Formats: sequence, structure tokens, C-alpha cells
Amino acid sequence: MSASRRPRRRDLLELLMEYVEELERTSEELAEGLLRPASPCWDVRDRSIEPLRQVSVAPDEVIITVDLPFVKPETIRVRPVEEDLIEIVAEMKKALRPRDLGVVHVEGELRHIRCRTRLPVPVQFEAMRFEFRKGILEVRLPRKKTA
Amino acid sequence: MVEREEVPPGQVVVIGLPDVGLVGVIATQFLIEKLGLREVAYLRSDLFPPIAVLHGGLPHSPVRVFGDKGILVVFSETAVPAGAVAPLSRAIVDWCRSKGAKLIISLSGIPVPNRQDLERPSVFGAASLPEALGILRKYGIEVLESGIMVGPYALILRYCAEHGLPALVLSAQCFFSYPDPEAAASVLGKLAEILGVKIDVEELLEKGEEIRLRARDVMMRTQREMARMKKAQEYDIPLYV
Repeated sequence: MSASRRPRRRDLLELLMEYVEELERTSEELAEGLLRPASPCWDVRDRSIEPLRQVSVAPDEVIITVDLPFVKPETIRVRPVEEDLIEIVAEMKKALRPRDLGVVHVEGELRHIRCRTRLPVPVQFEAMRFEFRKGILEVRLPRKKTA
Repeated sequence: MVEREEVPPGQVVVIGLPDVGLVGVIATQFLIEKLGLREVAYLRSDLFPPIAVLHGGLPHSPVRVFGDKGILVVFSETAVPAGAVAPLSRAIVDWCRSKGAKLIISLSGIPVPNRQDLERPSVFGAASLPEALGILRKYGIEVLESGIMVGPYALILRYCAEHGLPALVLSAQCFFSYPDPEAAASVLGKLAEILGVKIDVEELLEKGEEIRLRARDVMMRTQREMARMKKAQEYDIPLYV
């Protein structure tokens, strides 16, 4: 191969990489749109706000962390809803109107922080532990042993 | 950058962009309010989503510059799309060059997995030039000797190094995915020492829970962009020691 052709080959490779990245980005956005139709994180009908959360799977357990600002710690409830679905609810320190958060075009009030989270692997709900520190709830669920 | 009024040269520029824990955004918003800074410039870019931020019913750019008293603060109210990070960083540094910035200080976070165990987040730093490292040492800020930085602050630091501009990144230990007003207070404490101004962060700490609630949506959108720019690399153990 002549030296003059090398840059051309590099350019094509870069182009291909750009196409791959664009494809990845588009498929991510498509999946995001399909899985999460556009809706706000708050719901005045349910009077709740959905919190930020993270789910991580360790070899022995599933750890869920949930950001729960502005809640009464003694009202935090964590319960299984289905075999692979968990619900977390907590009462807020005081009811807020959307207007208090800068949303002036919606009437109503928000009293709870609530979310439902799908669990990626089977867990033992009966051995569930949770702890609330510095405004973050950490739920630990041991994974079910597989045969 | 479009200037709303004449911006005098030779000022210190403080930057707060959405990143881990929204540390920079929370800190700079508080700084703007406490120092009573006014909007002096804004970013006009087609690389951002078609957004107008409304304040008092009037439209504004999501990326604006506030200033007064020898300090300019660059602040973004929305997540920076991963594809816009490089051009935005370049635009900020070019503008700082054109204004003869005396020092550029980015306020940031450094994610730590055990953040809940830390009572008071510590602040670490990196600099664009060896002489700027001296500023960190002077104020007792431990230097991030090795590791990986990802995102706009990484590029701003690199571009400043290329142009010989003195720049610092101050990073407080923080949550990766949750807004962290305590980390913002830590980083503001160090900034106040460097600038020689008084910033009472008590109010920021008191309003912490409310700020976390309000910052929820910007954090969520920032998380998505951070995933696109592979931000989790900041947890990586450095290859060389």
C-alpha cells in the first residue's frame, strides 16, 4: 500500500466509527423514548414526586439507592409489589404545590415521594434490609441462590 | 458568546456546569445570588437543544455569564449535550482568552462511592500550569496527582494548558448521581479563600434538601449525558503510578 493511501483509509475508519456511534446514540434514544414516554417526574393526581434512584447488582445482593430529600424518615416504606418489583414511598415534611417548585401552570399538591423499581435478578424479599442516611435510602436485597 | 454589556478584561472567571452531583451548578447559582451578580453575556449555540429558559416571563439562554466586582461566573441551567461539550469548552476558553482572564476556576465534584460516610466532603484540585498548582498548594488543596477527568472541565483544563492560561479545577467529594449541596458548600469554602471574599455557606446547607428536590430533573438529564461521555471512567484506577 502506498503512503498516500493511508490517510484515506483512516478517514473511512473514522467515518465508520462515527456512524456506529450515531447508531448507538439513536438506538439509546429510541429505547429511552419507548421505555419512558415523556411525562413529568411529579403527578398531582397521585400527589407524588418520583425520586432519583440507582440499582446495582453485586454477586450476593441487589443494592438500590434512592435520593429522598425533604421526607420524614419515620414514614419511609419499602415493600415488594410483585416478584420483581419493589415500591418505595415516603411522606414529605410538608405538602408542596407545583407552584412552590416554579411550576405555575398546574394546580394541586405533592405530599409523597414514590417510586416503583424493577429488580433485574430474583431476590429474597424476606431478608431485605434498608437504611436511611444523609437523605439517601439504601435497600439491600440478597439474591436468590440458583441451583 | 454574546456580550450584553462591555465586559472589562483581567477578571477571575468561575465556571459551573452540570456534572456529577451538580456541584458546580449549585455552587455557582448560590455565588451569583449571594454576590448579587448580573447577567453580562450569554452563549448562542445551535448545538444545544431548542431551549429558552424563562425568568420573569422573559427568554434567556441556558448558558449565561454573570459578573461584577472583578468576578465573572459562567453557569449553565441545563445539561450540556455530550456532543456539545467540546465546542462549548472551546468557546468558553476562547472567550476567557479574549477577555484576558486572570484565572479560570471550575467548580466541580469528584464522585466517591462512600460519600454517605463523609461528614464534610474534602476538596481536591488540578491545574493547567505548574504555577497554578502553586495556588492549590498555597490554600492547602490536595492535588489530584493522577487519574482521569471526563467532561467539560477536563477539556477546559486541557485547552487552558494549550494556551498557557492559568486555570484550576476544584473538585469536592460528592455523590455521582444525586445533587450534592454539601459538596457545593465545601468547594465554595475553598473558592472564597482563593478569591478573598466572604461567602456564608450556612444558608446553602440549610436549604440543602429543597435544592436536592428542585435539582432532580437537571440531575436526571445530566446523568444521561454523563453516561454518553463515559463519565464513570473517573472511578478508574490510574494506569501509571
